[in-house]
Amino acid sequence: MKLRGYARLRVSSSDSLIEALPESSVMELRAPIVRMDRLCGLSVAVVANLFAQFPALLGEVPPDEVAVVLGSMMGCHKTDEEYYRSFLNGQPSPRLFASTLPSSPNGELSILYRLRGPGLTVTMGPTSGLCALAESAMFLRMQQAAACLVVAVEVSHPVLSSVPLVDSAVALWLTREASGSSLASLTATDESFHAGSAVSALTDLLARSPASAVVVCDETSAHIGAAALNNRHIRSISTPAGAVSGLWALGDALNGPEAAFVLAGVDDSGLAVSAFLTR
Amino acid sequence: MSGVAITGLGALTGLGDTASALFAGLLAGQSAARCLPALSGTPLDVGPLVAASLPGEDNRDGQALLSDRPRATSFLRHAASEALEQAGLASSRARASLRVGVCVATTLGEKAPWLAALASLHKDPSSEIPPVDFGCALPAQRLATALSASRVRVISTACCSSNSALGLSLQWLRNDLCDVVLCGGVDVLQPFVVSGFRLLRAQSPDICRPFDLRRSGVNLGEAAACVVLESERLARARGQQILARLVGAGLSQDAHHMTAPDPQGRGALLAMQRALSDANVAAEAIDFVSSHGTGTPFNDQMEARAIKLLFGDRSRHVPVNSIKGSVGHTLGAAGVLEAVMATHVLRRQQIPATTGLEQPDPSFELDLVMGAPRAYAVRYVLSTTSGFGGENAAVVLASGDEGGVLSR
Repeated sequence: MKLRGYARLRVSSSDSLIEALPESSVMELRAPIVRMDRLCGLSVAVVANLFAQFPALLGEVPPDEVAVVLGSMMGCHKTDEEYYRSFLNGQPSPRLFASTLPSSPNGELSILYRLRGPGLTVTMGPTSGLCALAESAMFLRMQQAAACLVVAVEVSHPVLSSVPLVDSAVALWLTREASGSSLASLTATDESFHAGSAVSALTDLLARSPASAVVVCDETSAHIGAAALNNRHIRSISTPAGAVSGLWALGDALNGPEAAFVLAGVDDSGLAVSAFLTR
Repeated sequence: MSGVAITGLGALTGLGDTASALFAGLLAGQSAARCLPALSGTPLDVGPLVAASLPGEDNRDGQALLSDRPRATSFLRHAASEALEQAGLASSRARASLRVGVCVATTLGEKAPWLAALASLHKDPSSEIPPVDFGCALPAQRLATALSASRVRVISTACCSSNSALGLSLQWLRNDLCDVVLCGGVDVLQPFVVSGFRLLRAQSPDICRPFDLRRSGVNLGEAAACVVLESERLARARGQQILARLVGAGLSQDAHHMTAPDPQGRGALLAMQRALSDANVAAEAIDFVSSHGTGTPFNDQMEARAIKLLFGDRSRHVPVNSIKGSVGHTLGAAGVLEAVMATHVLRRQQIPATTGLEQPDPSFELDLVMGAPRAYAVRYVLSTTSGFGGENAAVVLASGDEGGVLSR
């Protein structure tokens, strides 16, 4: 599998997403983004940046064969909270309720870009982005899609979340074959679940990973302290929290010194997920 | 592509707390939809809903809907226990040498504790809220932990989440990533979703009437359903009865509208075609269609059109039903629940009638099963679901015996 395009975005929760759009998309996307909730708007903005940086991607594959695969830890909880508060106030908002699904960005992206391939939303912990990458690789391997638009997205925390998030998103484009230049090759994905033990899950996963260089986000790095590493070189990268963390670290790794590396992430439930890439 | 064996079923619905109770109720044409006394006179008094009761819980009045108990986790665990028991995998010893995957579909996950905390904050903004456990992943993570699973995934792709989860589980087994997959779907009724469906005018004030001229929307319901999937080879080696087989899955997106399906049914058609292709089964081989059949004007029209496009002239002769008039629209649980029903159909060769359907919309030109169950020779079932955002997912199930296979 080939990684053909990559973009990421981090904005303050008070920033307008119009400002985050590439200049070429502002006219077209201003109105849709204004009507969307933050989760959808952020997803659309990062994908607009992806296509602005890699304009050839959309035309290379029939839109019926493009999957949209999303990963998010908190999903639409901010919108959920806003909707439920409107209900408690006696003035429930139909507009907000219509966006109270974690998969809403899949719908918005498929409509904007006329994509009719498989749609899938993964809502786990911070590994959700890497899980979305793994499911995309499966779609490609099983020939259920010719290309996958993979998006990881998190919106800053609602009142009751214990996880501090910022508004951040990553989008990437994965294809079965390279019809042009690629940023990297995705050779394999792997995962391990050890209920409640992130350290065991990581140890297990890294023991069978094919590269000596391991790229992780800071949160995963904290768990690695106690994991058995077998002389692996660990590079820890500061990233936003949540589902974007793993795929955000990928952006740094693409510009790093390692020709081949394992991208690894873990969450407190004990799920560790990895992807093996070569540049 | 190869199929996988279904060796265990579990269900908790408004019709009872077992998969057998579900099918018995469907065959009897029962509807569990009713106006819930606990909601009378409140903003949640929206018309008939389908409440379900956990063992030891009497929820006939709908009181549990207003509680802050983590019911989704309990629902899922109950359905999982039944399915694992039937598959001979209830004990940790039986699972010890197996790589067990847990793949769960939900649109809401565990929301009740969070809703209760928000309501407390609303009443007293200065109140201190204790940490609450909530989230889409919670029921699945708890189940995966209890089963010492080796793989876990939570899928939340609107109302087609659980057919998507079935498709993902099928891929895990085909790719030898697991030996056994417990695939489930769960959603419980909560003020959050009941109020929202009313706002969108998707909840019917009347009983749900799929494909009927008078159809006016869904009756929301709550349920959990699980199936145990494994390779046919493993099932035979373990001496397990193969109840049915999951042989294909297909997903698609409408690319049309966020809250309305493509009226031409193109997205749903694509998902069905992809499921058939994945199964290597011809449309001519399908004996029965388990439809999404929500009872909303737009969904049923779209679905009828997609079925006609798929089968052509034969669409008048392929039996179609919907179980939503009996158990309500159970959102993230809908697809797995329909897989449980379809497995019973394949074993019993009886198709439940569509409860609530009395005057079929003549424009649909489908062979809708209504009035009474139909005895019918069924070897292949196509089950289809669609959801907000234009998401679609379909699966193909086949009888447990090898039989003849009509390939494309």
